[in-house]
Parts: sequence; C-alpha cells; structure tokens
Amino acid sequence: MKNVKYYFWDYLLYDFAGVERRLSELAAQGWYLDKIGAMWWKFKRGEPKAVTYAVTYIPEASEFNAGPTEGQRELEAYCEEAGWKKTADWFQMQIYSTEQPSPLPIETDEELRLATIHKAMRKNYLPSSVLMAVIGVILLLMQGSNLLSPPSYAGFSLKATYLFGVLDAVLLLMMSGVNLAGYYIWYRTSGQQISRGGGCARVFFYRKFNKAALALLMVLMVCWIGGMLAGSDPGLAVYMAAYMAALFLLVFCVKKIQQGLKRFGLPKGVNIFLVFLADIVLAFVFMGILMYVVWNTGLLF
Amino acid sequence: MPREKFQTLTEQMFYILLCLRAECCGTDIMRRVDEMTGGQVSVGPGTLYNLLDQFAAAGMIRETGRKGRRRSYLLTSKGSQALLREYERLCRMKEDYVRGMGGQ
Repeated sequence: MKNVKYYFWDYLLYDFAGVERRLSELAAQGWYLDKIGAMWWKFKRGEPKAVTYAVTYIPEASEFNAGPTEGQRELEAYCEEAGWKKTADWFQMQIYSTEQPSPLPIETDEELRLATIHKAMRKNYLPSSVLMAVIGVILLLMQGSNLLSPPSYAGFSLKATYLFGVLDAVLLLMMSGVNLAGYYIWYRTSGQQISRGGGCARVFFYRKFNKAALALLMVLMVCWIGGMLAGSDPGLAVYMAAYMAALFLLVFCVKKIQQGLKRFGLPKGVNIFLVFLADIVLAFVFMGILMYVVWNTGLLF
Repeated sequence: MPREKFQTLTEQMFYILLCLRAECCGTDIMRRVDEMTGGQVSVGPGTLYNLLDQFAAAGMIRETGRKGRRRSYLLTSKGSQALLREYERLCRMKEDYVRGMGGQ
C-alpha cells in the first residue's frame, strides 16, 4: 500500500476556498499535506479525519526568504492561541489546520481579507500573469512573422514548427488572459458581495480551462514531433525534444538552487540576485551545449 | 477598499483599539475582545494580525515590547482620537435613533 501520493496542484494562488476545500477532502480520505512542490504537492497517508483547513495571506512573505518572517511567526502565535496549527506556506499563502469541530475562523473581516489577498496578488500572481501574456505576444509576433515569411528558405517541417509556435503562443495568451480576467471578475464580484454583507466570491471553471489548454498543448506537441519523426525531418524533431528537455532541466535546476540558497540562510535580496544570475548562466550553458551538439552532429543540416 | 481608511471603524477595529488602552499582546487581545463583548464579537487571528499591522503603519498603535513571537502594543494619541471619533459617531447615531423613534 502506497503511503505517499502526489497530486497535480492546479489551484490559483487566490483561490483560498478551493485549496481549503480540497485539503479537507483529502484529509477525510486519509491524505495529509507533507510538502509543497512547484506543480505536484506531496501527501502522506494517515488516519482519515475531519480536519478543517484555513488559508490566510501575508503579502510580504516570499519564497526567497531564508525562514519565516517576524510577521509569519507572529501570525503563527495568534493562530496557535486560537487552536490552529501551521501546515505549510505557498508563496504568500499561509495554510493552517485544526481538528476542532467549530474553530474560530482565521479571517473574521471579509473586506480586510479581500484587501490582503489583492495586496498579495499584486506582488506575485498579477505581475507573473502579465509577464506570461507579454511573452505570449512576443512569441506570437516572432512565430507569426516566421510563418508568414516566403517559403523559399523555409521548408515544410520548419513551417510546421512555426505553426506550432503560433498555436503555443495563442494558448499561452489565452491562458494568461483568462486567468487575469478571471481574477479581475472575482475581485469585483467579491467586493460587491462583501458590500452587501456577504463573503468573497467562489472561483469557478479556471481549473478545467487550464487543464484543457495544457492537454491541448501536449497533444499538439506530440502530433508535431511525431509528424516530423515520421516525415522527412527527424533531426528537427530530436532538436526540439532536446530543447524542451533543456528548458525543463533549467526550471528544475533554478528551483533547486533557490531552495539550496534558502537553506543556506542567505538574505532575500542576495537569493534573488544569485537565482537570477544562475538562470542566465545556466540558460547560456544549456543552449551552448545544445548548439555544440547540433553543430558537431549536423542534426539540422 | 471602499471604506476610507479608519475614518469609521468596524466593530473589530473598535474593540482592538479599546483593548490597547492598556499594553497587551495580540493573543491577549483575542481573549479580551471575547470577554468584553460576551462572545458577540470575535477577532480571528488573521484579521487581528492584519489590523495590528495596519494600525501600526497608520501610527494608531505602537509596539512596546517583544517576547519571543509575541509583540505588545499600546494605543497612541492618534489611535485614541480615532476611538473617540468612533464613539461620538455611535452616540450621534443613538441620539438620531431616539429622536427618529419619537423618544426623549
């Protein structure tokens, strides 16, 4: 019997109710949050229990901090007093749990809760979503102009690559657009509901949309690489597969470096600087290795 | 936020500031508000943390000491003024109510 399970965590940072609900459901099935990963959250088996999870936010919290901030420690002390135990934190999100049957809620002022979430999202979620949209626009322009260029120097496989790039960029734009618009609608609706004496609004549908977009991306990628392997350009397919692998390896290495520097106890600013530096250096190194292999094996020529 | 910051106070803001007329830490505040209001008003730990942070940033309370993870606070003159303003507003509302209902 497996005692560890990994769940693909596709909840957005501001969907506190979704995270609370899901964690309580999993605890009722005997799965308890053990470790938060970039995309997969690790759960350990335990006795199934009715556990209430509550999420709150500290805008100044950061993944780059060496340890919990004074604010996080202070909040933890207040929560312990009210019977809540710290379970984990995820960027600005602070996750607490309790087995008390009717605990005092961590948040008792919805207007303040919404303002705090918005402050936290302005620090992390919103800038990263905007950045994703900008990258989508740049990709679309680049790949679109390549696709529309005269076919004299671009063969069929290369055109298929550009077409894949265009579809990729469109999907990226759609995902960031839907997620940004979704947040804006949620924020407005929540504000309206609170002014009428209610609570924050429920967040709908984004998980299905994001899952469908990712699945579509995977299908496109498999079709495209498979088509090239089976066709006249297997070298390009191998190159693109290696390129994707290098990209994933880069993200993995950068995350590990950030975690290592955090364990080393370096201050936030130094951690950010070194991670940024490592990101650039590793990108050059990986691309250099890839180009060296391409040049020496004649993969693309 | 639609409410102009601290021009009017919510129940929770009011009672937190009232507790801080005497120096105390956050965990004491949660207990005191509960006792003071007979359980009618409860301040959750997340709400308390954020309000203390905002009050301190607005100069309405000041930190007086630190013991481990707990920080103690005390009301400042600016906080006292806000509390008094709110009290006067509530009194005016009460008087308006009495007049409106045709009472003395």
